[in-house]
Amino acid sequence: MEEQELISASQAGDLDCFNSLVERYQRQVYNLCLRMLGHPDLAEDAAQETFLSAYRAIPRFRGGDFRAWLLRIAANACHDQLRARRRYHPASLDSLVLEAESSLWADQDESPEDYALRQELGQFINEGLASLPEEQRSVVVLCDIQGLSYEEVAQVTRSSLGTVKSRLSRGRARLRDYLLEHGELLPPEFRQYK
Amino acid sequence: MFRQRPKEECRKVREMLSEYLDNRLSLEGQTAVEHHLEGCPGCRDELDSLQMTVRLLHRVPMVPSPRSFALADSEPRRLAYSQPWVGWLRPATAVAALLLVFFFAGDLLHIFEPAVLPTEGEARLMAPEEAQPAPDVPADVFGAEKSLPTGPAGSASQPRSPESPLPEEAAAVAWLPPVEIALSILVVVLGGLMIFATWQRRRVARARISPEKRE
Repeated sequence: MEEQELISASQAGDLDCFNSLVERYQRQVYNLCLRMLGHPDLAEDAAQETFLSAYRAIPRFRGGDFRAWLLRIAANACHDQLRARRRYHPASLDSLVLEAESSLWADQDESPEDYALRQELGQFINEGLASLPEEQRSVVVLCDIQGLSYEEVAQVTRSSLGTVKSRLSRGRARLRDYLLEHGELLPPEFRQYK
Repeated sequence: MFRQRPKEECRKVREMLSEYLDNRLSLEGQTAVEHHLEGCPGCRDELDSLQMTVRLLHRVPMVPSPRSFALADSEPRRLAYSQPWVGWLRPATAVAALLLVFFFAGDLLHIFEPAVLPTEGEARLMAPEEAQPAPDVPADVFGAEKSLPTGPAGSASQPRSPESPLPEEAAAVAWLPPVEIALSILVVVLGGLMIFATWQRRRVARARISPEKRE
């Protein structure tokens, strides 16, 4: 079924159609929550809360970009989690998640040493994201990891285009500075800027 | 040999580098940045390091979802679709509360009482020994042997005069108290329903609905 048909059916009360939408977007939602919260358990809770809230709110969805609408609910769920916990533990990412991540980063012919380096690099990027203020982190994750356009990010974060550009510029620069502090683990072509 | 660039110009260009990387600058801005970069190695390094950072971020993988987040066929359906009136509670309560405040304020400021004084002829017609009470005026309001109702200061125990309240004026305000009472009851009822609906929603939100989440 086309997405618009699934949305209309969901608004009429068809739970199966709504769950089809869940299947389509749960990976994006979960990844946003994971990059925002830094912990898989928190990300699961936030993702579940996102789809629960979306199910209750979908009768009021008036068209437009459904992905942006859903990610906005996810961003709000993450904000609620962060506000409740008031801390971010990127180092608490358990080994299972890190292994799953690093396997996706790995090249086919990678040596064990390169595998370990790539694993640590992934960890540093997560820690770098954690060092950003929440509003900069959300924009960097949405734009550079999730691949949303400036306009879509503005919709998700309910901010102006100028604000998105400013936060993205500062977030990227701040992340760059953080990564340069750990230059010994970065790819050679990156280390020269230290 | 590179000529020295003003720091202010470098600061402005560096603020534009993020948009420049994403090809979001106007043609004029793009030209200005490129012209500056040609003669400023510091800003070129800044651009290159930002570009490397963005490339690293682009390589961050999308982690597979650890489980399905599909909702179970249980309470969310009942709450979401069996109570469509819930969405109207808040605006209805707000409107009722605003009307109540309006009528209360109007009553206090006497804005519902007509300001026009009766003529001598009209006053004579409304004399208690001659006039029939108006259908919408309570019979005891202008009874001859009964005291006049408490109204504007000084009028409660005065004999009827052209300046005293006429039946039309009393009628104009007689409907006010019932309206105020009705609106008060409506606000209390709607507010109570809204609180109940909110409590019920939060109770479900705290519960773990999806069976996959449960051990």
